[in-house]
Amino acid sequence: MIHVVTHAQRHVYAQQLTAMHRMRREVFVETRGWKLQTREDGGEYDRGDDDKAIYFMMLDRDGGLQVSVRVRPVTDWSILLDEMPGCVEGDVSALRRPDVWEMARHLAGQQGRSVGEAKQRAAEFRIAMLEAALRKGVTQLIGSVDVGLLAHGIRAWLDLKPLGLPVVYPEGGAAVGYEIPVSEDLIERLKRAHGVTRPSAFELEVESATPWMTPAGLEASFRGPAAYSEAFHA
Amino acid sequence: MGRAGFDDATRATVFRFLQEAQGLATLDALNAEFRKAVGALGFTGAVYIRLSADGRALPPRPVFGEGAPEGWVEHYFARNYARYDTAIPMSFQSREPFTWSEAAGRGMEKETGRLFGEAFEWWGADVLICPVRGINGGVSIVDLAMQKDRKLDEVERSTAHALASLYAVVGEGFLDRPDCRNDLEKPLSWREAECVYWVCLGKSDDEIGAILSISKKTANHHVEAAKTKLGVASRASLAWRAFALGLVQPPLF
Repeated sequence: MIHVVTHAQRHVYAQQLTAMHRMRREVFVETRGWKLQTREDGGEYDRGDDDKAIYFMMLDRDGGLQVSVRVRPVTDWSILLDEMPGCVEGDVSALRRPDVWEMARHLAGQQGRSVGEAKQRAAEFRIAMLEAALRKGVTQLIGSVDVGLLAHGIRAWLDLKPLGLPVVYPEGGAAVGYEIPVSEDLIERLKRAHGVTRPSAFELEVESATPWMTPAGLEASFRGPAAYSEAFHA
Repeated sequence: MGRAGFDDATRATVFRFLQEAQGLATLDALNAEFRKAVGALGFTGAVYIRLSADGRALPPRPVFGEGAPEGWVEHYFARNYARYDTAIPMSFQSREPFTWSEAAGRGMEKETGRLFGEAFEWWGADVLICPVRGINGGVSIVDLAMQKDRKLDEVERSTAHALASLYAVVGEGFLDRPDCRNDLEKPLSWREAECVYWVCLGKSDDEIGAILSISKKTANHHVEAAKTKLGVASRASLAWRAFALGLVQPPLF
């Protein structure tokens, strides 16, 4: 199950969000050497981590974070359009629209016990993002990807297309801006390709949630009453 | 960040390929447009080679593209150079492009030195090797021929790599399409298929004749007929087209 975390659900997923920011520091600051801001809680944060940010999270059975990505409307600010405009050929402002979201800070940890399971869960994650984006009126996802991962991105997202020529990072390596048109057709093709038959995204309606509903409990309730009872009493 | 320092015409040509490659209808069109795009960056030839798929290593033969000198692939396999080719392990280890000159510098064995010495001589060029990772962990490379002693900057390398990645993904898509498999207008005869198998193993017409107890001329006739039926111009392309169509199983090193 892929959890959709908007500003409204932040308090329910506080633990997972803290873990996500710490993992972002480990991956992007410590491992990749990017010059990004960190806070006292040990996490990496940037201007995009505000009320408009929506996080997609894949959790394990204990509510531990496995995969996450941030998406955010680009109308006021975006990494690609404001910090890396060289990655977009032509008029950058043409992308500054409310139906365009940016994907950023993708973390992919352990997703399964085998390569096959990891591939399947990664596909479910992508489908969940597209379904949620489509429901919210998004027609285009944009972002940047390392040139070395461009081929993988095209194979994974099917309709991913470069927005411009690569741009070299000061820290080394190079990135390509991309766009993914969001459509029912793309979602259906991905579902067919990966044998996904049911919606993958879950967005908690906070008003109906009880205070003790943890993400682990949510995961378990999705799997059925017996699993939920086991998780709640564990 | 360092934006590509290309002139407007080069940028336009490169960007056109990045935008339009996935909409091209045939492998021939892809090859033609890719040649234009990499040509704008000063590369003179481009070849796609699949190194591994589905957990298996594959002989590093060209699958599509042009630029390998006639006879080079056969020579490479006849000398068993794959065993000493440092570019192969580098392709698996590196996500970044590298040149033959850089690969040659990594070799410790004298056969590696001989391989690259002959490669530079045959090709009259250096080659930028762009590794492309598959979704199932497979590895392919796109070899881009360029002037020997040319020094590429980061922007040129990464731009070539982006173009090569798209070329690889779109080209593989053509090979993996159902209409590319097994539906030959005129299927190969049993003898033609036998000859194609030995071509895949790097045998000359003379050697194929000796193996199959036919004359060199007859072997050549069958190989040429197979090339016509599979729509290819070279023995290297014949080998990989036959593999892509499932007509032969490729041998390992």
